[in-house]
Amino acid sequence: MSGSALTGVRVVELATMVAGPYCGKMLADLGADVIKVESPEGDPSREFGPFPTGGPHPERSAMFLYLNTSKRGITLNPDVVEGLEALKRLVKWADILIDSFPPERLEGPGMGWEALTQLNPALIYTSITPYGRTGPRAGVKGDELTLIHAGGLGNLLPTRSVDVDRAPVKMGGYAVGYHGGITAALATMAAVLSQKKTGCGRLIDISLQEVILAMVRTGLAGNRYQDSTWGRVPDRPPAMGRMKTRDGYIVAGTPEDHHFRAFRELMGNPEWLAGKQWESLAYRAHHLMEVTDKIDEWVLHQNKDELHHRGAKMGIAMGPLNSAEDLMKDEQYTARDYFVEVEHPEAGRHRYAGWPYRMTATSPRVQRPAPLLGEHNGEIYGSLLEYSPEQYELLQRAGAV
Amino acid sequence: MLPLEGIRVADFSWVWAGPYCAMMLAALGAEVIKIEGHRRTDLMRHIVNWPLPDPAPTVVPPNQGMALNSVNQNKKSFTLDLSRPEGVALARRLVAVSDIAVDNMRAGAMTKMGLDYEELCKVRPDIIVLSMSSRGQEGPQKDYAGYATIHHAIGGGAYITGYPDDDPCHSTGDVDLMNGTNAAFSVLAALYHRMETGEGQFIDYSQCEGVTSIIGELLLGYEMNGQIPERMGNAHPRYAPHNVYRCWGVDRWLALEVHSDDEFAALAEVIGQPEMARDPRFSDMSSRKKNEKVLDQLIEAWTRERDRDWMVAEFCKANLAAAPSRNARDLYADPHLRARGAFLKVDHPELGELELVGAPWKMSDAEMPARHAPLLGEHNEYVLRELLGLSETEVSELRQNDIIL
Repeated sequence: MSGSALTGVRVVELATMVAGPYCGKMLADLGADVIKVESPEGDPSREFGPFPTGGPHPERSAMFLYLNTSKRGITLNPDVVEGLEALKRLVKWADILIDSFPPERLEGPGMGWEALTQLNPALIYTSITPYGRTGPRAGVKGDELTLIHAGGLGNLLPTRSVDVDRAPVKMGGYAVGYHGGITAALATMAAVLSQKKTGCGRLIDISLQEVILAMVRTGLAGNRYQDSTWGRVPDRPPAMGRMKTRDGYIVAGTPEDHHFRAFRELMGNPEWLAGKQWESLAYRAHHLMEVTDKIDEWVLHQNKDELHHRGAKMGIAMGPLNSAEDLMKDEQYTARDYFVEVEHPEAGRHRYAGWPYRMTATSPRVQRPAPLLGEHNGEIYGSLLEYSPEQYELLQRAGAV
Repeated sequence: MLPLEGIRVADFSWVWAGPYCAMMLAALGAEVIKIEGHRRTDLMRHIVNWPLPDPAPTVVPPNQGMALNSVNQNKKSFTLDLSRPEGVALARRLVAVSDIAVDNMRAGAMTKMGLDYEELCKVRPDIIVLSMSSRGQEGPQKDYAGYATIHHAIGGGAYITGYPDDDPCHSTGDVDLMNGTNAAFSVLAALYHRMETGEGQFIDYSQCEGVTSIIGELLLGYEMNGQIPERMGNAHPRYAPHNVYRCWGVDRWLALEVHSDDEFAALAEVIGQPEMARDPRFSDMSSRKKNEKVLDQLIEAWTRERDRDWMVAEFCKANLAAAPSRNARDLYADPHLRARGAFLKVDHPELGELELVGAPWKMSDAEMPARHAPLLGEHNEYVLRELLGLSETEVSELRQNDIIL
């Protein structure tokens, strides 16, 4: 172990809710020094929960706690002159500025991209907005539900739906926000690597609509150029999708012939699947729907975990639909120490979801729990930005902190 | 200048997640060599996107599948026989001149070929190796296989997706692309570390865990309060209205979400019922949430008789968050996406001009590259002669022995 991968990378995060903060978390958990800038009221995700049984509390919102690990936090109001001045000092210090506000928020007081790059020519400015910074729809509002439909992914769910009269349904949770954060982190990281060599900053314009568009790229091209069906079509066969078991659901995938042979064997080689023809992908594509009911019926009498292990050991790609409860006690996650314990002064000690990447030299870790509102004002305004106690008091009096 | 110019990637991956990871690196300027066994080529060279209307062909020529072409742009293709030692030796020589190696095989598959991290370190001590397996390299399920839909199920995403009174639903292949993007990020963090210290490393990526990490707030909530998060359809825990509404026509829908009392007043104005904003049933967020069902009915009574795109334009003019539920045709036709250059024109030697989705970012001083996915074996000559410095005689010997095609 040689410590953290991004030690020495300096980040200012002027972002709320999911996308910008997740981008900041990805960098922070790998060792970057991330300063989260909150308005004096705090990131709205402090109000979103879920909360412990005691009820809502701004320091106990799971959304805030999870998305802001490893960061230091300050409060700052850029709408007053003194606050803007402090933000400028932060920008001069930073390698990266993550901004999830509309461009006008910084452009208004004269801190648009041009001004930022004059303040700090090496700055990487990662701007995350619903529809991007340019184009006729720039500035239009968008959030989780509207953006998943704007980008095309929402239109595809529910999979295996037979009811065209029922509205498409979104992904559970905050898929758009997380996907946006991951994409922003990747582009930002690439810019950091070139900044290291050239000393030049960059503007990165992340449109959340395009983040979602990118995720439907294959279906989109298939629909336009090869007449494949787009949408919530009911004709997706089992053994390539979700099936109901006695105690829940299971998903299987059998694209290759050897997968399907194994699946047939798993079912005990029923006579209605006898014959060489079923071992051909082309034949199955056209005929699997004829035996859908029979496959569904067989699966309905199995237990999901038992079927998972039996099938997986025969080489079939399959897995149960896990709930939060299933996951927190899953043998594989436990064996890999996926969940990590974090102690937070207000919320207490809990297990948090970890990272999908284990790195032999620089594994990610929670460097510190999510900051309390304004927790690091003292050390950041004092030591890092070099405000004297008198100057800091002026900031407070002006409502900048 | 593209940020990753000068970086070379040996891409041993196939299907979607691994190839997309490597394609993200190619879009950022890395030279990516896609390596395929010449008798066991990428699965996406054999099948097209499912489902297809009859009687469309279910088998395509190796360079023409849209899935293949959508997740392999800007790469070079190198084919060889990886089941024979001479082929493996060539692959190792390629890794020796690369910075990064990517695979998405089952744990142990690369070891069997003599291409695992330990072996690759021998030819390139500071190599960064990313292995994107289904469940990770260790643990009782390390040998289990999976695809996007399965990772979505195991990782906990499918359980919370769908209507509360209906079956849950797994995603489409988007989970693979999320994992590819996430894994590419971890590779670049490792590259940064190598730039600072000279040290390479192995990255063990679990695609199931990738899904779990993006529902982290729900799992922490469960840890704190013991309540299992369930499916909520299109509803939001706080906001109302927050739904997808039927529009005039067959299977036409729009999404609308209201975040404040001011926005609700604007909505009431647009649908010609300003008095709704003063109705005590809808006067603040919590009362709207409580009366969400009747509120949705009132809104849908208005939307179902009107044109989707006209209504969305009206809502957006009133500064509300609204969007049509776009299908493929809507997306290709969207003037905003076209104005932003979201589609790249790609000249394909067998298919002609294609419009494919570009990388999901715009970066200053970095023009997005737009080369078609490589034809099978298109760059064998380049890799063997220029990168590995083989002589013409050596190449023809390899060809005679069927190590390369």
